[in-house]
Amino acid sequence: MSQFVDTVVTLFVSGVLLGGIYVLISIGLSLVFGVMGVINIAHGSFIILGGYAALVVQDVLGLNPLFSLFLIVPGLFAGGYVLQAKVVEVTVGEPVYSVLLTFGIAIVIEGVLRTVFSTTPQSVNVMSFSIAFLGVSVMAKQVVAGSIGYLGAGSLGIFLSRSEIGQAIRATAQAPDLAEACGIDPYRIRAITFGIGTLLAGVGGLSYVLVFSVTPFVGRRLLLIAFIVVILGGMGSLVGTAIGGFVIAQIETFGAFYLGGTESDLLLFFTALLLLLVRPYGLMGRREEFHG
Amino acid sequence: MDRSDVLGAGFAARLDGLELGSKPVFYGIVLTLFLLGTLLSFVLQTYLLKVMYLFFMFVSLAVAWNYLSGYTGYVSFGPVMFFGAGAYITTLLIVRLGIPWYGAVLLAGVLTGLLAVLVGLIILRITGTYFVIATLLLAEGFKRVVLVFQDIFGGSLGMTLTDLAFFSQRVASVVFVILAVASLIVTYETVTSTFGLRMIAIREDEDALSSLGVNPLKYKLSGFTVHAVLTALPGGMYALTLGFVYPETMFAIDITLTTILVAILGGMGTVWGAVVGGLVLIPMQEVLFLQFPSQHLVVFGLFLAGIIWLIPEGLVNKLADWGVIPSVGRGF
Repeated sequence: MSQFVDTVVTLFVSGVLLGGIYVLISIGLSLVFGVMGVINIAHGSFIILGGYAALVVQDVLGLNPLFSLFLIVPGLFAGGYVLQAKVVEVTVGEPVYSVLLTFGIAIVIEGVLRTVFSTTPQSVNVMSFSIAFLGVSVMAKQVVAGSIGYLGAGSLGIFLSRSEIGQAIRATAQAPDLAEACGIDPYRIRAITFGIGTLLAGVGGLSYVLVFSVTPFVGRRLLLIAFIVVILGGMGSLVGTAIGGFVIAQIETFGAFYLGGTESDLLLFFTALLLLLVRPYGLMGRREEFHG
Repeated sequence: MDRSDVLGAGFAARLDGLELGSKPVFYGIVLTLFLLGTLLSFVLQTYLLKVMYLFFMFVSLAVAWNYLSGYTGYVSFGPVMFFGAGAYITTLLIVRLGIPWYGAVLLAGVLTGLLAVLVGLIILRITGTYFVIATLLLAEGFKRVVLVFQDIFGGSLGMTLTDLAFFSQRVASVVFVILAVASLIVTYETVTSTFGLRMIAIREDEDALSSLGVNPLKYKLSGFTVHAVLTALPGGMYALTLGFVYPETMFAIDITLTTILVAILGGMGTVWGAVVGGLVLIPMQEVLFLQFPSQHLVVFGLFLAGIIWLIPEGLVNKLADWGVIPSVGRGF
């Protein structure tokens, strides 16, 4: 009996830590959709770009992969900013076209990554010792990855509620016309938002690669996870995304342990579909007015 | 960018553009396409034959996708779920029950249609962006089902089909031509009827349609089911031409992308869009593949992004804008 309790507690803690990663890889997707109605399929590729940045820092520069933050944050922000300003802008408010356009971008990034890094799974090897706490044993890197996740998501929340740009972003999400009338430049705000979404994906990729190995195609699965998280929480709702990431990570951790990996994925998909039916706009989302 | 005017163009153009979309013109072009396709099926050799039947396959798929998404506005990002379902059901019918391939393909179409009614009843309650995402997830879900239930579907190893009687690549090619032509006829006959008008009304304003006492579900569900059947049939044929089914091949997102790209490149909500899009895209894809064997995906991605960036309204509408062809009517 006590072994059962131990297992459940360990799984739960692993789920909490995985939840941090899932919140972080999903929150940018939710933010971008909420502000400009763009479904960003390239989000998965941005995640994996962050993962490979960490690998480059470890393998080429010989540093702790966490130093890749100095590469990811400015690099992916700038990349996302330019991409939105120059390319994605044409599909704002047109979800279907945004899917196709960003799918194109995703394929290009994947192809380039495959050429540069091949398709062999790669992983970082730091902080691989385990930490025992109250009878629960987890890897140090899991703790670090999960913490990055929750810290990253928390920073975004503070940024959006406290800073001037953050408030402008929220204003643009809630009432674009009104925000524009108040002197907020919507193009700039959308570019900044996309930049932030991209960098959050990248940092999410960094925390993911601390724990799991990556290939150029892992981005596709992570994108689907992010979709499920965002659907659960409600597109555009950040609190919902945080709850969604936590819940999905728990379902996946327990599902994978008791049912197996593929079965657990199937469970996730049908959870998401069921939720779409019962509450199409998610737990915390708003009813959208796109169709018709 | 406001595209509602483009989507609504069909109504405005009904009066002045009807001749190009008239019955004799439509059936004239369809007959020419059919004869040309059949002739080429017997003339062309290995590689070109394959390119040609892939063209007709993607035209059928794009026409089927357009039937649902172009006219009712319910944009599916998971046509590959019915493509894969058609392929797997066809294969199962042949391998397990020993049904001849032509019977298996047809029966797979019927069974996928039934499956689509079930799926449609559930997911057609979701609208807009959430419908897009639901279909995307559902397609992935279908693939996972095939992977999880290994005993039935062969898991990641797939299943093989060998020694089919009366089957050859040429026969398959003719069938693809027939499927493409049949999908075009179904689309034309639907959109020039009251039934089709109601489907288009769902796209324009579903609530207004309901308020007039019309139940949109009937039209949505029919559109969804026809879309599924017209997608499953080429799926079954594709499995036959390859001689095997793998989850990664039959539920490949690339098939969804190419299908949608063909339809959008040609023009959503037009009868001939898929043919125009296919004529441009499929040969181009093959050329890209030959020119850049290792990087063709990157080039395809650039191309995909480029098309949406440059001509989101599609070629048929663009040509009409430029005055190359008369403005687009419902039957065109």
